[in-house]
Amino acid sequence: MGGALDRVADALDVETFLVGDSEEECLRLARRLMEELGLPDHDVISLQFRGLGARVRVRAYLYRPGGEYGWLKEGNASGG
Amino acid sequence: MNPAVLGCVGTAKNTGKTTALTAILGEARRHGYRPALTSIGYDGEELDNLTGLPKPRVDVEPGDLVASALPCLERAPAGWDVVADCGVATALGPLVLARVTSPGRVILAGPAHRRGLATLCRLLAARREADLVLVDGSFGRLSPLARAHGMVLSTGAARSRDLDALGREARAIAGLLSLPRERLRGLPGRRPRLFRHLGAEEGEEAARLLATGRDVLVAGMVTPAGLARVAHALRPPPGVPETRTSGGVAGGPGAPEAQGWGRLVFTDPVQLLLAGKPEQVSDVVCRIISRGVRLAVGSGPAILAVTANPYYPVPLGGGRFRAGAVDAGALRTSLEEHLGAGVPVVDVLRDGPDRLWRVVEERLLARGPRARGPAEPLPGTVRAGFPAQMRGTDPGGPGTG
Amino acid sequence: MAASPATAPRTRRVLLAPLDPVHDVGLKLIKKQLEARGHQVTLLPPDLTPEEVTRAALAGRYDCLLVSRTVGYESAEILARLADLLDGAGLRPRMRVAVGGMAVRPELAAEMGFDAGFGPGTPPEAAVAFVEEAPPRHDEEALSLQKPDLCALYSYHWKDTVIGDAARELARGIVAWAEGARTPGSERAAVAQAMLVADEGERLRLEEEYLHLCGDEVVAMRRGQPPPHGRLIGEEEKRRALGLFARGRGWQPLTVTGYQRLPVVFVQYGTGCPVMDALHAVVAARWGAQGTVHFDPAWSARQEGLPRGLVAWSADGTFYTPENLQFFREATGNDLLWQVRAHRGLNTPETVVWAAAAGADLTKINPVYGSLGGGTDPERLLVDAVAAMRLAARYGLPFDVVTNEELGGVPAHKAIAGMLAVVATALELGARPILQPLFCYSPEAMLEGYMEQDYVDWNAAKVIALRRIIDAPIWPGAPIGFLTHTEERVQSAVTTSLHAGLAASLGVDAITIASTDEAYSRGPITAAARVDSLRAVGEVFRFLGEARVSPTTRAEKLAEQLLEGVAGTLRDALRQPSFCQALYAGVFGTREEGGNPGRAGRGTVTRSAPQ
Repeated sequence: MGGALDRVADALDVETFLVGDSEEECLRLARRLMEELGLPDHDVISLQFRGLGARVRVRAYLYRPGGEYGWLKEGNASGG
Repeated sequence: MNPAVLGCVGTAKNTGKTTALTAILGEARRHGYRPALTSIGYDGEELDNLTGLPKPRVDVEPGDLVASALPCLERAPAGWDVVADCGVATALGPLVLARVTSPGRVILAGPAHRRGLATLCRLLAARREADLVLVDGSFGRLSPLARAHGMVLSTGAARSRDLDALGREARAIAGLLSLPRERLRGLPGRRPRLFRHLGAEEGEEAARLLATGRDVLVAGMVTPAGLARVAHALRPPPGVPETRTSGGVAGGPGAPEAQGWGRLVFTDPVQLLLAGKPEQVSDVVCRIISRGVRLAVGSGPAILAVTANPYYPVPLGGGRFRAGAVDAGALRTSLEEHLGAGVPVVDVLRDGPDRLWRVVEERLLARGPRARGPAEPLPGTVRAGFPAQMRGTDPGGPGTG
Repeated sequence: MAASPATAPRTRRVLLAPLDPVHDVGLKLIKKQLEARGHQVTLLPPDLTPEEVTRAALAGRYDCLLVSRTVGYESAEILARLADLLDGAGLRPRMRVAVGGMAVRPELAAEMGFDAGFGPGTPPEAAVAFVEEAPPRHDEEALSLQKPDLCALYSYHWKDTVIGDAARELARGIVAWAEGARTPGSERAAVAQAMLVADEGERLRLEEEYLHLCGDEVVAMRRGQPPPHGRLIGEEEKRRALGLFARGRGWQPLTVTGYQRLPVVFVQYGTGCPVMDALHAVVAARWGAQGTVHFDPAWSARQEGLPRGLVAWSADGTFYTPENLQFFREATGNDLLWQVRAHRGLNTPETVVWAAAAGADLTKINPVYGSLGGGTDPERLLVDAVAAMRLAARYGLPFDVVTNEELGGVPAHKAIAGMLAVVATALELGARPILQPLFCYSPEAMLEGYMEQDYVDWNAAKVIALRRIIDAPIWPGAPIGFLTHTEERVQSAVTTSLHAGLAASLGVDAITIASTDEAYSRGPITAAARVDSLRAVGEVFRFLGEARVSPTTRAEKLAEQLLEGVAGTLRDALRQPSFCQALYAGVFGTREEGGNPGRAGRGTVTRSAPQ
């Protein structure tokens, strides 16, 4: 059986509020956050800055359509 | 042959219960025993259902028998064939007995009540395919283990960092599990009075009956108030000084039994463990005994060993934990001092699995199917902690359950 | 619904114990239902200790104990203690015990020693079934969906005779105009039909015939070359996927209120991969979607011919191949209404054939949008659309007629006029069309300020106008709230759900909703994004119940304006030599407005008989 990441259907979204001084800083922080989490292949889906910081959602696709999905591997698909 | 039934119980989450169980399981296989594995309720997830803390896995090997809810087996990576439907329902589906065909993890969701565990044990006895039933239990879910023959208690820093408190608690639990076994057979015309519930009122009544020489059997729920009322209502017999037992302290040679007083028998020690905090219950039980009442239990598990786990989880936030630890040596010393030589203290990780296994083999398996339980009176501190008659002489066993 | 006491099973004695400090309304609901079925029910006061509950249980001979408790750390200990005390008191297993609460799951119930656990959202019926020891309802059975027929209630009677007469006149012209016209698309549809009933040898011959009618890239793909950035899915992968999805099937209603006839909720899929599509569809069904709409690649719509094989690629839209369609149907079971769109490309007629063969319930055909907004040559698509509508009528497949050209800037009255001409044509050919006005923040609405005040009136005006024109099913699309979504998840879910609430208020028959990834264009839609929108829609349906979103009086004025515009457009079309000419001439949308007659398939119409 694989790890839990195998069972992610497609993407991992990270949502949080980042404290920062500017939209640019928050954008940098959002990207760095994903790097630190070991998810270098990511995209900032939405980021809304309002003074103190930004509401942000960043996404890392683990499986894109047409790829080979972890949740379909032998053992995962049949072991549920 | 009736298989021996061993319950593994922790005083709290992360006290090393599953580690102990896994160690016993591995050693049992190595020594040629045929183990069967189940749990009370549900266990085997990577993260604890209630606390979100990581839990050790239960890995099985080909040939092992497991009893679990069918849907849980279907989710298990290990391979298995259903051997029998146990005829017991669980919240997760029907309980089935399965033989493992390829190694891997299992999720155990076993019987939730003692009747269910008894049914499973009967099935295993009839099939003669297992000689040791390992039951993954928890201190919060103890009742079904009234049907076990032995119990390994796991405690440690995850329960408390106060090592003395851990010792006191372990001693109280061990003491209650070591009460003498007695099968109440009423004399002709002198049937024991049966209580299905021991509350304050019933306690008063029980004390009155005991004082008149009538035996009392408690077969239902025991409340702290009920026990306290028994202790309070029974005056010490003339000429016998009252034995103080605060803090589980010793009564020396023990109070002489009052001639002519009835016997107070609980169907199993688990009833008493369910009555409240072990130390408080143990205190009251000691007071009743010190009044000169013969207090015993019908059957139930004997304490085989206490395992000590110095590690405890320290939350880091974000659902992550790191391991903290108390001094392993100090923990062991405290437990040994409180429990005495009668109850071995094992640190599974440091001592290795074979030490725990030797205890299980000597104190449970070597005694044969008819005499399981602690045949020897419990010596040492435990013995010193309880009046003399608490030294068990009539062990419970498969034949008595 | 609770059955009458006469049909109820034997009377049970039931003890209900709220372990929370206050009475749980859930237990009260359960008590009412149990009593209605003739059971003897005792409801204990709240906030008792496990000992007190055990004592109460000991005092009477109960068959069942139902406990409610909101589970937190302490609660788990209390529940486990209760289970232990009940067992220790000898009450188990004669008395069966279940627990209900916010965080209760079956695993938790098992761990704490209960026979069953009921989490949030469990209907009281589940507790009743537990008490009566009714066999647990099998998922498929419990969730079986009576697939609604969106057209069943409608007479297709033209209520606005001016518009109706004009539309019908145009329709008769279209049918006559298309008579005897052939295209590679309509010929492939004929070959495809023959393939469906051919034996192996005949099929090989037909395949050669088919390949002659295809573009080079499709020929290469049909001969085994995977699409760019794509691959063929193997048998083993297919087997595992079907096994996985078989476990998750079944449809879950969006709400359980049943106060009003809710629109059927469709979601779109077309991730590029049939396996991922099936995952999305199964997830969507479990979260309340009742229908799915297959999106094929825009690339494919411009090619002559369809590829074959179980094929995935990493671009938008999933290929129509017989194998992909068959796989989707197998993977999702027969739970969902399934629309396979034929409407806009060079493969319109044969898509209807393959869709029907795979068991689709609906298709989509609109040559006006397809030629003005979809890139296909008007003449080619009009011929193909007539052929496709004939096939849809033969197969009994209803289809919607979209008005997506609005999104390019075509005014709504023109798009609606085009739709009505196609609807009239469909009726002329014996098919069952469905009206699909857009619920969107269209360029026209932006420029004219129709939606400055609110998002209600302009959308409502379209439905009001259509209701005055014809008695036909209405299925706003697609997706509702188009161009109001942002990449922000909560906003996206809210705008979708509020548009759904408006649609429900207007009593439409179906809606197509977006995922919360609607406005996110840099990556594929995620499964989680499906769930979020559906949850929001369910919540708004629940919130509204029988209440209605009420448009202002402006909606009425806008509807009148639309009716005038529609009538005017149809009159303009009738002045053209043919409907086809009207499309080229910009009657249904000029180039300036965003109506761009497409070029794909230009010059491919041949006529075997005089026009």
